Amino acid sequence: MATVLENLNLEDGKSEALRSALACISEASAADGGPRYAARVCRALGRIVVCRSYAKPIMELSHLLACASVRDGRFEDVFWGIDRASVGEFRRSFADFENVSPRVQVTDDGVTHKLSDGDFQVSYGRMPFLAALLEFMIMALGYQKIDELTKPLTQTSLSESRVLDVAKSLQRSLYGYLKDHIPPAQRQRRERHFLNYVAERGGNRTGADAISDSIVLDYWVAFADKDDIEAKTYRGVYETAVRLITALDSAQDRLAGSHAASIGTDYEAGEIDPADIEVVSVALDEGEGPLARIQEICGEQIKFVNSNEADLFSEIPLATGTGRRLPVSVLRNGVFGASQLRMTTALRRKTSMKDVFPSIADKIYRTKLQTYRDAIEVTERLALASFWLLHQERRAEAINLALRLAPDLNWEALLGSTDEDQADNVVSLVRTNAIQNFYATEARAKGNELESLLADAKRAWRSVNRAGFKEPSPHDVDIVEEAVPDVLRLIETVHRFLERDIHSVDWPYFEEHDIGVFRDVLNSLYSFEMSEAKDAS
Amino acid sequence: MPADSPVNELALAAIEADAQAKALRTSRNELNKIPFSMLYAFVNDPQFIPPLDFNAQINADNDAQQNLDLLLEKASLVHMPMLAAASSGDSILRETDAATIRLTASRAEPEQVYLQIQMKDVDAPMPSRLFVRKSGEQWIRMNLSEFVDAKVQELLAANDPVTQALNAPDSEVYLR
Amino acid sequence: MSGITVHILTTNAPATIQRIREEDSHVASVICLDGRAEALPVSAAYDAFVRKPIGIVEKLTGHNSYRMDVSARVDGGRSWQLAAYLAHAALLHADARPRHVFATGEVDDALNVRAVEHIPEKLKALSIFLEENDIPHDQSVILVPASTENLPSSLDGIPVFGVGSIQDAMEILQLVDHKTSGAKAVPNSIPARRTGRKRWSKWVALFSIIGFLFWFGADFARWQAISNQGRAVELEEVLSRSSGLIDTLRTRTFRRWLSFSRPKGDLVKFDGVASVALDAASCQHARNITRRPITETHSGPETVCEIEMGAYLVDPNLKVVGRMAYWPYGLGVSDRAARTMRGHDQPNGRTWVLPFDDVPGPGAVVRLVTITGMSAIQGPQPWYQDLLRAKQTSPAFIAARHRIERLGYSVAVKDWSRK
Repeated sequence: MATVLENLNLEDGKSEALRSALACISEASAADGGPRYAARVCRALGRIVVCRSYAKPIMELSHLLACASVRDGRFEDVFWGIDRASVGEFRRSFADFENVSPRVQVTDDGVTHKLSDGDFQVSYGRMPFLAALLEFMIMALGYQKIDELTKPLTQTSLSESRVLDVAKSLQRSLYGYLKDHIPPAQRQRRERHFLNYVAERGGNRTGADAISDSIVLDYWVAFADKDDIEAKTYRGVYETAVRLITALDSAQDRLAGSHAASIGTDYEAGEIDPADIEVVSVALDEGEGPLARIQEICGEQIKFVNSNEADLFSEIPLATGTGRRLPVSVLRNGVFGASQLRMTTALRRKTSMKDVFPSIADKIYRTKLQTYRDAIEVTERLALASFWLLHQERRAEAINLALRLAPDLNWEALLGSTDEDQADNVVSLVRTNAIQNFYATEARAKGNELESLLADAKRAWRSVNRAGFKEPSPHDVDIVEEAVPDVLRLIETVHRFLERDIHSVDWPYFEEHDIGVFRDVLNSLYSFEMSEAKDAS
Repeated sequence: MPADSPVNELALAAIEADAQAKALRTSRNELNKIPFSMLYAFVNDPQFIPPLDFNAQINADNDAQQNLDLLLEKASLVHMPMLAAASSGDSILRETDAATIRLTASRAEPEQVYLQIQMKDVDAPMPSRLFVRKSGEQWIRMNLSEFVDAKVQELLAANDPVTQALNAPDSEVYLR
Repeated sequence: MSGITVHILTTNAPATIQRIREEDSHVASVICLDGRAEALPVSAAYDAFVRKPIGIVEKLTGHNSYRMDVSARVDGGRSWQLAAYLAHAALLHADARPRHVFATGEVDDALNVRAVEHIPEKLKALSIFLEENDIPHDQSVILVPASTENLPSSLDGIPVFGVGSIQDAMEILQLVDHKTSGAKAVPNSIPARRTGRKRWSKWVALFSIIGFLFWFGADFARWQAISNQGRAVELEEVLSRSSGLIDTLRTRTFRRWLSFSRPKGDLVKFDGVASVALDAASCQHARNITRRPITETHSGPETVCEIEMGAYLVDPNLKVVGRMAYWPYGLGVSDRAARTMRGHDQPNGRTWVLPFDDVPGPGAVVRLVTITGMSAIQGPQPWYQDLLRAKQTSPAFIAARHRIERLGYSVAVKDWSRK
């Protein structure tokens, strides 16, 4: 019989095989060296593997394989005959399938698999993810296995039930593989411990509402110096609280929305629907936040947000619920969380602790808030500058930008585009004229509202000195257009926090109160004042 | 709300799943797996340049070897399984219903050989790559020049791995 | 190898033919670089040059497969043929006097030496080569097609000969070649005449007219020689210099003769292929491209990545030259065409391949103009300016066409447009 250690090593080896298979997907590269699969696709793949919520995607994949095989019995060329698994590449690939078979209909949005007992549509937007899933299954189960299991899909006549059979056999095989290869989940001790603390102190409040600024601070004060739970850093505790709020809000919505009637049954059985877990874990995906999306889309090419700004904005919670519930904790993390990090770094490097802790005279929180305001103003200026660029390039996103930058503009009067007496059949003509008028508008500082907005945008454009904003190439313009919705989302998020979430906080009180609390706890952890004194002498 | 309410349990399960997914994404890749997309490119893309350690990686990855074998089998136009190559004067000849491959030593440069491939169906699609493998070794890939009148001729060094593999009577060939 | 060392003139530097050795008959002939296991792309053309029924080397030597090693890369085209043939011929004369032969020229199946391009550049490259290499100038010759204009009589002390046939070259090199008919070669000699039945009848007519007009003098023959060498602009200038009644009569009569002997009718057949793809990015990958016969207009949604057009002679005794011009915004809209191409000589005509860097949008036009005559035009061709940019019904176009027709050539035009 194998020892516990041997079993542990065995398990480690098996999970490494799974990790390697997933790593192959995220490390697969296109001809230009860039990733073949987008990061969000790889994250989504990891989620469905862990949550085991692959039934629906495998069904979609089976239909897609059947469509891709219809030309010559081989689906491989569709999936790997493209350089990058992107929506555009799949759209181009399937353009060759028009009129190849009555079973496959190519549309603007995707492909429709027309079977005698019903149609099934797969959108182009889903195809990159399904391609990653297929390649993962090949890496995990072997090409031979996948080839055998999917052979029935290459037949000329297919029924819905046959496709379902194939999907089920794929699911069974994947289930068997994952059963052997997924390592046991690590129970999140810290989150559970925190939730228990909240339950004891939350009073009448439930769910995420029970988590407040005082609870977060009290928890840290209570457990920072304890060894049996990891709560030493304020930042760690704060991030645990943020994670829990996000997950609880999402779980609340999910359970209220779809499974209200069966909560009791599920709970008593101790089972949680994998689909629910997957949906809630999406909310936890930091990669879906506007800041991460901007960084992913723009790379080093377009600097909407530089690294200092990115560090600042990463301190502001992006989920709606967090800023509203923990406004002071956000600032505590930004100021004292950073201070604690400087202390641990100084200890590790054996350098001076001088100036690691802020002074009451610094108006720490109000200064920090002003830093956030200054930073988002820069982002707003860049958004305005990009409005000028996109307007000149006649890109569709320019209209969206204009609507967001100047929501109070009287569009109808400006563009002369309405006439209540117009018949319905002239609406599209009127709209077309309005769009033409929009792009034909010129920048004039003393003109109407749109003209002066354009003049501001032009001025902003000329004053910008950031990568991508000087003589942009057509590719740069594409990136700007793609990034703008997330830039606007970021601006909205930061403004929501700065204007709504912290609206009624008494900052001078908290500055004075928190300096004392944090000094005491951090001194007990690191004796930093003694070190400071020693350095001074 | 009790700590073990359904909402809390779902939230915690999602946090655990998220952490597990993150942990699975950080791989040391000590197993050195080759992505399937790379194998596909190796077989189908004439412009694909394999990494320098490709053969070493293939050697170490049994799954990739099997995947590659099947990819070749499915994608190829002509297969010449291991069979004793016939010798004809200074030439070595392999022949199937679909093609003839001939290796002839150069009279002018004894250290060089001519590889000639003749497809028997002049209207069939012409291959652009040759894959050859000696028994127990890995596949060697060679891009072919354009066929003219269903024929192509390449000049190789006698010690070229492709030449040596083709000279071995038990080697296997695919034309893609 | 014999004592004769043959070098192929190229625009980079002469490529020395190092060795020629026989290979097995079933092996296609190859040209290799310096003994390496690298067959140059020109090898297929060399095999066609060697092997019967098309090739002429096998007829000379009796063997049909060779490996030729050269010291430097030889590009495509046919200008290497003269040197290659002479190298094979030299092998049959192992005891020939040691010499260096620098040659360029196309050789047809009648062993005539045809014109090739870039002779001045090749001679310039040779000059640099001679400075850097120890070649005995007094034991060297330079052989180029006789139709080359402005040929120097020597280069750095090495005599330059224009040869119209292999026989001419062999005589210069003092190599007996019983396969070719006799015609003494002299420096800058007139190229050998073709002997088709049609040309024969035209020559009879010519000499009759010359005989009838004997008192017009030798100028008539001189003008004819200029015309035969394709020196059209020079001919035009010469004919425009007439003063006095007799001069005018002579030039007018000669022009009438040019008009009479000008080839007419459908002299060339055109065809072409358009390569299309879904969009400009797809043009980068061959697998995304569909090739289809070209039509006069393209109005489909696909992007046109490249077009190929060919002009093929109905009468192989004629010659065709031409230009293809790309007007991305419409015929003659900008000052000059975005691209102008001279095309590639083919056995029976000429082809042009135009890959688009900026794919054609609506309104783009590609115009192909061919000029066909008894000889290939050499030197400057100012008429292309209007022929390539003006509408076919416009006065400028008509004037340009008339100008070249008066010199004995016929013009044909093909337009392709993107709707």
